[in-house]
Amino acid sequence: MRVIEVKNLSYAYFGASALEDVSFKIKPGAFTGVLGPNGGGKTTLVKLILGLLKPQSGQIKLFTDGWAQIGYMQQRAAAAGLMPLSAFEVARLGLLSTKKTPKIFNRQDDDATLQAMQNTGCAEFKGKLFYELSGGQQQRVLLARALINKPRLLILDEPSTALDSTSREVFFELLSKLNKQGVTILLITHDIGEVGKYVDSFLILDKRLVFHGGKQAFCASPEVTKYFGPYTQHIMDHLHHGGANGVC
Amino acid sequence: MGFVEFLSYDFAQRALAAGVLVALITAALGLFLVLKRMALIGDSLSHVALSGVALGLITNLSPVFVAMPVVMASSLAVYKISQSAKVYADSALGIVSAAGLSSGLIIAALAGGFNVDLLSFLFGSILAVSGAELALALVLAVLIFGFIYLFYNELTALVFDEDFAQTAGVKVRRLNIALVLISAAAVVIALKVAGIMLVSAMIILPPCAALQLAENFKRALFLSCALSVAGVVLGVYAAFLLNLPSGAVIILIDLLILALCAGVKKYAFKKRILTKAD
Repeated sequence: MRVIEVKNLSYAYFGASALEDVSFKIKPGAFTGVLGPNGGGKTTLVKLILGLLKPQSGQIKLFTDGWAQIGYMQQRAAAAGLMPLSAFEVARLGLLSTKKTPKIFNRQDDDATLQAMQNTGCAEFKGKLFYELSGGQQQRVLLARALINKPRLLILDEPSTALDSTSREVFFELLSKLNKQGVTILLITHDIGEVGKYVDSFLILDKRLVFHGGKQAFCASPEVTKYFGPYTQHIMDHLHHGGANGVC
Repeated sequence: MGFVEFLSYDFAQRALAAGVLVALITAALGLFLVLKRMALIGDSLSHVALSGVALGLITNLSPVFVAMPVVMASSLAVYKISQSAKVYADSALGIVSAAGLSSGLIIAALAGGFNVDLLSFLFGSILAVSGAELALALVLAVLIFGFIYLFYNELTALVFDEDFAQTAGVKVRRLNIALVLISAAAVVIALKVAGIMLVSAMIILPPCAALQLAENFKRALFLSCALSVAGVVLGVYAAFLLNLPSGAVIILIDLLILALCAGVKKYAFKKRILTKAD
């Protein structure tokens, strides 16, 4: 059983390699933290999984029934700009994948939107313009948009960059709750500290797949030690003291 | 001459009908283009339109009908070039604009220089709109508003966040191509109203004015259309009374409307701050 299967995946931008021969499988219900340096191929991997880029070699198999079962939340709404959309309207866009043209929303869609906003704690500012919200509020709206279809697979690309420490805690608790309800989560981050407490497996990308496994294997892996070098002890300490429940 | 008397003339009725249709088309489409940061596509394609118009004049065919396929083909070129990751969208617009303007000037020179017909396209000549051009504007208005109605939510997603739209199953490529083709058609049909030099302003100014005041997207769409129609009606009448080029007068009125909307927004914002402080 798997939700994502990636086989020998490679991708290059104008000859500059971004991913090289990456293979892995994600099981249903896994909460996987994807780590790696800037330029390590994390976002490229997400774009390939989502079909925003086409693999140049290798393949990706998704075991979901179409886009409606995949929730996607990126760092920030890329082009939100000054578009006068309310938080409610932005969250409701998540239902587009369930509609056929003309994709017109109905009362049930509005109810589902409100429910998703209540679940992510953003219903109170549903009528406010999205661009007037704080970074943390915007993230909650985008999470509501990603969750509105009750996805089986949730892909988040550095979702906590605009959040303060309290909001982060609330945000990750929410993800943890969803994961316990059976949602498979792929979380891209460059900060191992913030995810150590919540994820059950790690995937380290530095163009190639450096490591993929559970927390215990992560702590024991010489590859991880080799990869993180002098920072290894700091990371292990963080996983140990910072909430990895003593795994390391 | 009073406005009612002005309306009794056939040419005035035709001019206003064409102007209102063009105002609706450019304002509605312009809102999506402005928010998608593609507002200057109108500028670029209007330069291309010069070569189409010049070609029409040199071949004794209708300049608008010759310009239409030329500008539509160029809009696809803009899309294709901007999809190349090594050329930014604004550079793609610049490339197509340069190609259109230079070829237009050469064709005009070969035709013996700028004659009255070509000048009327450069600066707009709404009072000379033909019946066929009015019919074309009507057909385009129906098609464009039908397109916006059918794809409203998909266009909203596309403009708000293209990557997300794609993951939500929106056919992003097809929609983008449709958007540039419609923009091309809108530019050509707006040539007689605003002129090649100012057509892009009709795409940019009313949406920018509407965005100053609108509190949601649908209201912005409605307001953009309403302000654009107001600008055209006032502009056409003023141009007739003062014997000035219609395009320039319409755009000046659009600019005044934008300044007024920005002022109202600033005043409303200050009032809100003061109310909160109290």
